[in-house]
Amino acid sequence: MIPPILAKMRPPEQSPLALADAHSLETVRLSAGYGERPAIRDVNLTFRPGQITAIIGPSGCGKSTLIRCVNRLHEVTPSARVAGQVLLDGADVYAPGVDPVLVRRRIGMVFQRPNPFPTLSIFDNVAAGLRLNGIDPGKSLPDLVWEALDRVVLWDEVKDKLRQPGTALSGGQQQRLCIARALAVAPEVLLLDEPTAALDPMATLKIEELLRELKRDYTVVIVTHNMQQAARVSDVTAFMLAGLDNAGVVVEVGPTHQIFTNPTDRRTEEYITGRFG
Amino acid sequence: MPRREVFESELQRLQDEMLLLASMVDQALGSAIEALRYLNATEAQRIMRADREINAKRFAIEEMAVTTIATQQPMARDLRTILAVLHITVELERMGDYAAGIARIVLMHGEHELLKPLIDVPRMADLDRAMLRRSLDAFVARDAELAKRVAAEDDQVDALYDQVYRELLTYMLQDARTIDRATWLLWVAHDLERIADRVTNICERVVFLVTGRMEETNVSTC
Repeated sequence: MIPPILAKMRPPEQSPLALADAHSLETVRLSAGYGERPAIRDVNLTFRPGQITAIIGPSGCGKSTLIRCVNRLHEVTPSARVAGQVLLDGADVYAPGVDPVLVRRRIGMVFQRPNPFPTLSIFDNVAAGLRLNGIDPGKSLPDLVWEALDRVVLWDEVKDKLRQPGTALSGGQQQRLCIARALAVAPEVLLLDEPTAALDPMATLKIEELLRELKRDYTVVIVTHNMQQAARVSDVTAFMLAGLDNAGVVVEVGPTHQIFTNPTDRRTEEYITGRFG
Repeated sequence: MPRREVFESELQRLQDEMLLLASMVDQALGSAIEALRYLNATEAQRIMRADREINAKRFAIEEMAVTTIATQQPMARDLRTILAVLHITVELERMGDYAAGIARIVLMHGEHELLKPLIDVPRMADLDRAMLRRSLDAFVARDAELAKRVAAEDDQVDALYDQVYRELLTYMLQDARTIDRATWLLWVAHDLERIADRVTNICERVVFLVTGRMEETNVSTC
């Protein structure tokens, strides 16, 4: 018999079960690499619902690889390999028979550079995932698109130009559009890989404000190079560093206020005080 | 390990200015007690004028600290250091006010003589100054244990204050004409007792700087 949680990851017509409310995410001895080159090693992290977890660390420490493993995006890269477990509400997303496409719907991702579908309108950008994954029979497509755009505080800015291309928006608006697109398919977890690196300060602050709102309903994980951003926006911070074998490991994880005022590990202190080479 | 040269230079300057302020306060306290011992009004007036320099130094340090926080975004130990400097600076400035207050009491004596030769009051002042110096040694050495030991010495100052209080009370009860001069000396003793309390606050900030934890270093048992 297929465990209920795995049944949720099959196409909706095969799973009459309701989705669980709590959405904890956990990596268990997660390791990954590209061919012979290790990228991360034995990562054990728990991402709790109602919290924003920031992952910080120098370039090349495996932060992006880690979150790409979490939603099974890592495996689309040729030569990619992964070991260990990623547990969504206790069920391993890498278990045999689990559809990676549905994993990526349940665990949404937003990337550094806003990437609205260039040939689609604002409306169709949000609707695309809904059309692919199926719509809740109790709701209409326009309602769901409105909900998603309203959730990211973009509706008022685009309601009169929904048929315009998504790429006609400013950088900050495009990124919010991408977040709306991810939210439209009702994920349980939202992963963001440097979501404001390409945005101006005002757009950055709007995204950060949005994340604080979204954490009430989603498990949010953000990878960021910007330590001040991690300090401003997250509840928990994990610091990663590449080891001697160049595989990233978690050095320290803890409440954000503690990491940034009194870290336990000397390497964390050196990194956050800017004395790390 | 790469250094942030501008930031580290600012951080060091902040600490150096705080230590300079401490030296000014230490001198003011010593001078105030000597002025009281000999009822030297001229010296007392100089001490009161010099308190303005202590106040100005405090504000300069605060401004420097705020600028560093705004422009350098310090974290962890650096942040705790700057916060400790800020708090200690305020404590030092208040100690300077107490020294000026003692100098004011010299002037209040006018043509009167001291009620009695000073014995315990200078002892209190010496303890205060020793505690102050050692609390700053603890700061420089980042020595939380030393800070806690210094804070514990506040009990000795408190015991001397109780002694002075009882003695002056005896004078006042025996002869009402001594009330003014006894009260002035009582104020001096009270200022010195408060200076020791301020030093325990400095010690708490040193412990916080080193450990990242806020701890009361010397809880009163009364």
